[in-house]
Formats: sequence, C-alpha cells, structure tokens
Amino acid sequence: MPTLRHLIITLLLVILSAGCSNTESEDAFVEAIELNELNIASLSIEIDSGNSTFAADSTETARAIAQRNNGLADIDVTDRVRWSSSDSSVLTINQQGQISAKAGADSLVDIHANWADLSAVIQVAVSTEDLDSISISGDSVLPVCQGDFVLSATGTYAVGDERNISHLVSWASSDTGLVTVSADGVMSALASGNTGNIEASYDGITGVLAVEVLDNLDAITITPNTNVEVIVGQTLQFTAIGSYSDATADADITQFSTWFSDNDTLLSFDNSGDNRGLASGLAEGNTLIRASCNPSNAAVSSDVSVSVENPSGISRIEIRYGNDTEIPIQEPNDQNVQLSALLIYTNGDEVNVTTDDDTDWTSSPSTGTEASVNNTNDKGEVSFNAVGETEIEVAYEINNVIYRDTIILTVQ
Amino acid sequence: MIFSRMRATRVITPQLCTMLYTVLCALCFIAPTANAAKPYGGIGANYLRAAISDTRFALASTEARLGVYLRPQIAVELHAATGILDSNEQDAELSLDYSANAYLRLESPERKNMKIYVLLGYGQSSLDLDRSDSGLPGSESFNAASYGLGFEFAVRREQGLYLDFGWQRHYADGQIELDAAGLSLRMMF
Repeated sequence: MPTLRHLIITLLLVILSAGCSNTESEDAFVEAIELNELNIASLSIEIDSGNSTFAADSTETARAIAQRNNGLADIDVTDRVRWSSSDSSVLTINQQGQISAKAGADSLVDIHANWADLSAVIQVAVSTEDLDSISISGDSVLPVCQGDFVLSATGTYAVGDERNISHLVSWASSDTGLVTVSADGVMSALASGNTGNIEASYDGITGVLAVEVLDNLDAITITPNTNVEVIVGQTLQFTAIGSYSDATADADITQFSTWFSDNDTLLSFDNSGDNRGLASGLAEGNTLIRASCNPSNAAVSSDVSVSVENPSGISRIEIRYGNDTEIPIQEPNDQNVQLSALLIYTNGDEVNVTTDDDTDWTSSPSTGTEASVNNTNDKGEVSFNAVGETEIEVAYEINNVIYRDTIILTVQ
Repeated sequence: MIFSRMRATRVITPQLCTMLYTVLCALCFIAPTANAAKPYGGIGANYLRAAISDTRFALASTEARLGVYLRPQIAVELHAATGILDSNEQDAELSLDYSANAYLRLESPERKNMKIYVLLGYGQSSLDLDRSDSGLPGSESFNAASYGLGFEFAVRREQGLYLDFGWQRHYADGQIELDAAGLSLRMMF
C-alpha cells in the first residue's frame, strides 16, 4: 500500500513539524484561573526596607502584594508573579524578588511584577553616593533574660539623604556573654548588670549603640508546677515566666533559662537550641526541677516536683504459675504447664498479656535441653525435658519501653 | 448562556494551515489512485469538557466533517467545530472559538449494522477565556496530537447513512485538557 504508507508518513511529518510549545497559551489560561480562584483584584509592589533609592552594588528585597475582592485579606504573591527590570544593566531582580543594584550604576529603573493580566510597577533609583555614617536605633536598656529586641540601621549619605540599611549592615556585639545580636539585627540580653556595644558595619563605616542589661529579674515561675507527670519515653515542655522588679512586664523566658533536674537519669533537659524547657522522661521515679536565667543573675525558680511514670501507669510485668510467682520442682517429661504474664498497673489493676503480640517469651539456655517455653502458638507453655535449671523470661514492649520478668525452673 | 455564532473564521495559526494544506495535497494525490476512494460528510453536536488547572468547564459545540475512504476501513477526515454553549466557572467564561482536526480513521468491519473506529491525528483548538474583572486573557490556540474512538450504527445502510457516537481528546498537556463527546450523522456521498 504505497499510497497509504505515504499518507501516514506525511501525517507523522506534519505532526512532528507542527509540534510547537503551547506553554505561553497554557500559562495565560492557568494564571487567569488562579487569579479568579484567589479573588485577586490588583497587585502592588513593596520594598522590604522601605527605600526608594538603593545603594549601588547592594541588594534589596521586593514583595508583590495581591489585593483581593470580597473583603479578603491581602496576600503575599512574591513567588507567584513574574518580576522584571526595565534596565538590567542597572538593576536585576530574580523570581523571588531579590534585587541586585549593579556597581557603578546611577539611574532610575522600573521594577515590574506581572501575573496574568495584572501588573504593578514602581520606580526606584540606584545611587553611587558615598555612605557618611550609620546610626542604630532600638532599645538600649534591656531587661535581662529576654530577646526579640529589633534594631535598625540608618545610613546617612553624602547629600544628606537617609536610607534603611538594616539588611545591608553586619551586626556584631562587643560582649556576646552580655548581649547577642543576630545577623538580622535582633538582640537578646543574656547577662545582667553590665554594658556593651552593638556595632553595625557597612561599606567601611561602623555605627555603635551602647546597651545596658538591667539586673531586674526578680523571680521565675515554672509551669506546669503541680501534679506534674512525665511519661517515660515522652517529653514535656515547661515554661518559665520571669517577673521583674521594675515596670518591665512579666515575660516568657523559657528560651533564655537554664534548666536543671536533680536526677538526670530519671528526667533530663536539653539546654540547647530551641529545646530549652523540654524535659525527657527516662526512667520511673521522682525528681525536682528548677530554672535560672544565667549564672550572673540570682533569680532561680522554686523547685517543682516531677513524677516520671511508666507509660499508661504500668508498674511492672509478672510471670505467674496459677496464682503463684514460683513453679514447683518438676521432673523430666512431666506434663506441660502454662505460665501467665500479667501487667501490673500502678493502681493495682492486672492485665493478662500472656499471648499478646507484644509479649515475647524466651528461655535460657535457649537450647531448651532442660525446659523450653513456647513463644508461638501456645505462648507461655513450658515443657520439661531433662534435669537442670532454666531461666524463663517474658518481655513486653509498649511505647518503646520494655518490661521484663524472669522465673527459674528446676527439673530434678 | 446559549447563543449561536460562527467564530471559526478567526485566524488559524500557520502551523495548522500548513498541516491542513499538506493533508489536502496528500488527499488530492492519493484519492484518485485509490480504488476504494469514497467521500463522505457529516454533522453533529458535541459536549465539551475543558479543564484548566482544577477548574472544570462544560461547553458544547457543533461539528462538521469531511472524509474519504482510501481503502476499505481506512479513511482520512477533517473535522471543524465551533462553540455553541459557553461555560462560566470561577468568574471566568470559557468558550470554544473553533477546533480543527485532521485524522486518520481506522474502522472495524461492519457487523449487525455496527462498527467501531479509532481516530489518530493532529489539530488545533482555539479557546476564549474571559475573566469577569478584565475580559482577559482572551483567545489562545492549543496545538496537539489528538485521538478518539467511537462506534457507528447504520441507519440506512443502502444510502450510507450512519449514526455516530464518538469521543475525541483534542488537547491534554500540562494543566489544560479538552475532550469532546458527541453524536453525529455521517453520510456517504
């Protein structure tokens, strides 16, 4: 069929030659539907720093905000819009809204954000003016054992205009034992009764803020503090509330406190990272805990009694022969006997778990020469084979805790 | 909203023009040499299901087709459709401007006045999406390999009149799909 073969080949060639991308068409439709699904009416652009003039060779961050119909709250659509710059030789912007002002540039540029048929534009300037000085604003007198003190850095440029350069400066503390400052300019006051400096540096210029940390922490209260129970294998988050001797409001100082347990083998704290105040139950028993701000501050919480309990109030497991906890001496080839495994709860309740899936019966020696215990179909059934002693163990696992009991069998 | 219109005169992309021209040339070349060359035509109506992202639209179209058998049970067909029923979802109205497809049709032998067929080809569909806020983005064309299947019942066999039930996938790529299912009459010339 030469003619048909030719036609099929022709069709395939047409399909291949006509193959083209529908990406733009698809994007236009999908984006339009997304706008409607989200009730978006318009877009606007915001610069995080609030600046409209950017220093050459610096970075800024733009955000696209979508205003919505029907009284819905504005939403950040920075990652959704298509960003562009009117002059990429002066300023570039990536699809996450990160702006780079080029070195040596000195010009006006439009930044565009587009999403389907919506668009927003702002005009910014890139300037090569020299930075003259940096001033730091923020709290300079800090209550001890608190954080989240946000600093901002303002740069004054040669012609006198001021810009927010908080995101451009490098932050440092002259005494990190007293006060720390994060890369984004957030201070935490750690030790009390002393002064130090916070420095902000950019473009060879440094600004300084003198800070004082007050010795005003009066008391620390731990919560929970009554009938506290921690389950073995589980954790409990404690909170420390600091009360201050001056007008400073009570504050949650959990993450600035050092936590102690009198018996680390029962209950321990991980005094690192964001885990401060998180207690881990390790073994059953009672212990006392407390929290203090830091060695330089006298305020320490009252002791709180903590009971570390086994899961579900289980106290122990017991092997029973009938109602007894011992088995009479047996002779070889005596009739098999059935042992039971009972979970004993702290309130005295008993639950038979002899054949439970989580119950594991073993004998030692495991050869079963003298006696052996069934751990399959008839769990707990013991057979007596020869003269000798055998240790029978039962193990029951729940919530990663294993309860064990053993019993000695004697065959004479 | 139901309204009649003929918007199939909208500009068709060069790719589709090239394709249709090539198919027609092939037909002119092949048909006279094929002993079984039998032309036919048909008209019908389709229910269209369009999906854009997670939003579903239900539309309707009317369709005309022309074809020719190259050999028994093997034919080529040209389909042209235009929308007759728009769909409004998520404050956006979707309508079909036109759909044009060229198919190779392979069908089974006829038994008890029935036969089944499959369609393999290529086509272009132009959809118009209007957001209520802006009336945009407007018309966009989508080109893709298309395919379909169906069965026919011989209403008047001696006159070559068939009732056709068929389904076609016009487009399925990325987050957009366009399917058509419909009823038509096909008549041998």
